[in-house]
Amino acid sequence: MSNGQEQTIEFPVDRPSIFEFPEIYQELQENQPFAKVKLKLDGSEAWLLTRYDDVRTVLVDPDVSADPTSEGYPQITAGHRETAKRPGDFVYMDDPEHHKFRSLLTSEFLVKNLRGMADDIADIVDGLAQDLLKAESVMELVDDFALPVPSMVICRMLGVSYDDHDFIQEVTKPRLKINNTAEESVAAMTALIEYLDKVVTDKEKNPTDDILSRLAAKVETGEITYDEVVNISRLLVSAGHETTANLISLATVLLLQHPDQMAALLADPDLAPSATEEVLRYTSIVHTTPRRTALKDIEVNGHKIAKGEGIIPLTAMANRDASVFPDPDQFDITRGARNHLAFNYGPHHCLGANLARLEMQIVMQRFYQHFPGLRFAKPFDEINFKMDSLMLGAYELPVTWDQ
Amino acid sequence: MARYRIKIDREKCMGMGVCVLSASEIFDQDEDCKAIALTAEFDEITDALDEAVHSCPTRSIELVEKTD
Repeated sequence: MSNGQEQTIEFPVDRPSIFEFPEIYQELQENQPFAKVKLKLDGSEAWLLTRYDDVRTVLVDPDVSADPTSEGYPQITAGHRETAKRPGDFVYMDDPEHHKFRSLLTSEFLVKNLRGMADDIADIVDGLAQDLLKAESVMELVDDFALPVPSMVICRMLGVSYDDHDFIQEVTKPRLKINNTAEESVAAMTALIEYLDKVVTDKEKNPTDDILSRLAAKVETGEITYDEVVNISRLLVSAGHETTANLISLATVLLLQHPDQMAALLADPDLAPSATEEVLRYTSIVHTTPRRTALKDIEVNGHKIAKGEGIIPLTAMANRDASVFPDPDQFDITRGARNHLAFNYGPHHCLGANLARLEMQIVMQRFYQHFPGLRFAKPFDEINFKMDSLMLGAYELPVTWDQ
Repeated sequence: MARYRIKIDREKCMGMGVCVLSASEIFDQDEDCKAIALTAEFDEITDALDEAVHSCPTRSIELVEKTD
C-alpha cells in the first residue's frame, strides 16, 4: 500500500488459510499501524491496530472501554449485538465493576489452586488415549479427544454433569459463528441459561465442592445476585469448552505438519510448557477480538483516537510482530516466549489462562506418546477448519497411527 | 546495597499470576490473590524478573532503581 492511496478495508478480512493472516493485515502492520477499517456487519468505522506495543498500550488504558453499549463499540456479529451485556457479564464490563465480579473467581484459577487438578487431567488424557488405542485404528481427534478433555475438566470444576456435554456443545456453538443471526444466538443463549438456572438452583439447595456451589453461596451473603451467578456460569461453561479444544486440535495439526518438532517433543516431554506457549502464540485462535472504544480523546503512542471511536487492538497480529517475535511466521516449539497476547492483555486477560496452560501442557507431554507414527488420515487440504468462527479451530481431524 | 527494589501496586493487581509463572522463586500470591515479592531487592535484573515485570497484564509491577 503506497502513501495517500487509501483503500477501504472491510473487517474482518477472510484468512487465506488456517495459520495465515490476510496479507493486508501484514501490510498494515508494516506501513499503517493505525488503520481505519469498515466493519462488515454494519459499515461503521473503527481503528485497526496491529503492532504489539500499540495493542498493549490500548488494552491497559483506563479510558478505553470493553463495554459493547459504549458509543462506537465495534460489533462484528449480529448475535453479540443483540445479547450484549447481561447481568454479571464481566467480560463486557469496565473496572471497577468488572474487577468486582472477577475477583469472586480469581482464587479458583490460581496456579497453586489448580495444582491439585494436574493428576486428574493426566488421568483423563491417558484414559481417553487408552480407550482409543483399544477401540480403533482411526480417530476423529476433535470429537474423540480435543473436546472431551476440556469438557470433562471444566464440568468437574464447575460441578456440572459431564452427561450433559452434548447439549452444552450444541448450545455454545451458534454464538461462535461470525455469520450467526441474532435469532440463532439468542435461542442458544436462552437454552443454556435455562439449563444453568436449574443447575444453580440445585447448587443452592445441595452445595457440593465445586465453583458453581461456591458462587451460589455468595447470593445468600449478598455479594452477587442469582441472575448474575447464572450468567457467570454461562461464561465459564462456554469459555471452558471450545477454547482449549480448538487449541488441542490445532496443536496436533501443527505438530503433524512439522515432524521434526513432533519428534523433538516425543524425545523430550519437558518441552511441553514451551511448546504450549508457541501453540498459543502461533495459532492465536481468538482472531477478531478484542474490541474496544475510547471513552475520551486519547493518544496511543503519539496517535490520536477521538472519544467514541471504535478500536480493534488485534492481539492475534501482535503475536506475529517481528520486532517482538523474531521470524514470527515460523512455528518453533523451543521459542518459549510467554509474552504473547493469546490470553489478551490488561484487566481482561483470560481468567482461565492458568487452567488452559495446564491442560495444554499435560496434553503435549502425554497424549502423543501413546500414538507412534501419528499422521493425518485425510489430506491436510481437505480438513474442514473453523474459518467462519470467532475462534479458530478444526471441525474434524481424522488421524491414524502405527498399529 | 542492592540496586533495584520491586514495587507492587496492590490496587491494580488482579491476581492473574503471570508473574508467578515467569519467576516462581521471586513472586507468590497472598490470601487475597495479590502478588507478593518473596525477595524484594536485587542487584541485577534476571531474564525471569524482566519477563515478570513486562508481562504483567495490569502493569502492577515496577522495578525501582535505588539512588543512594
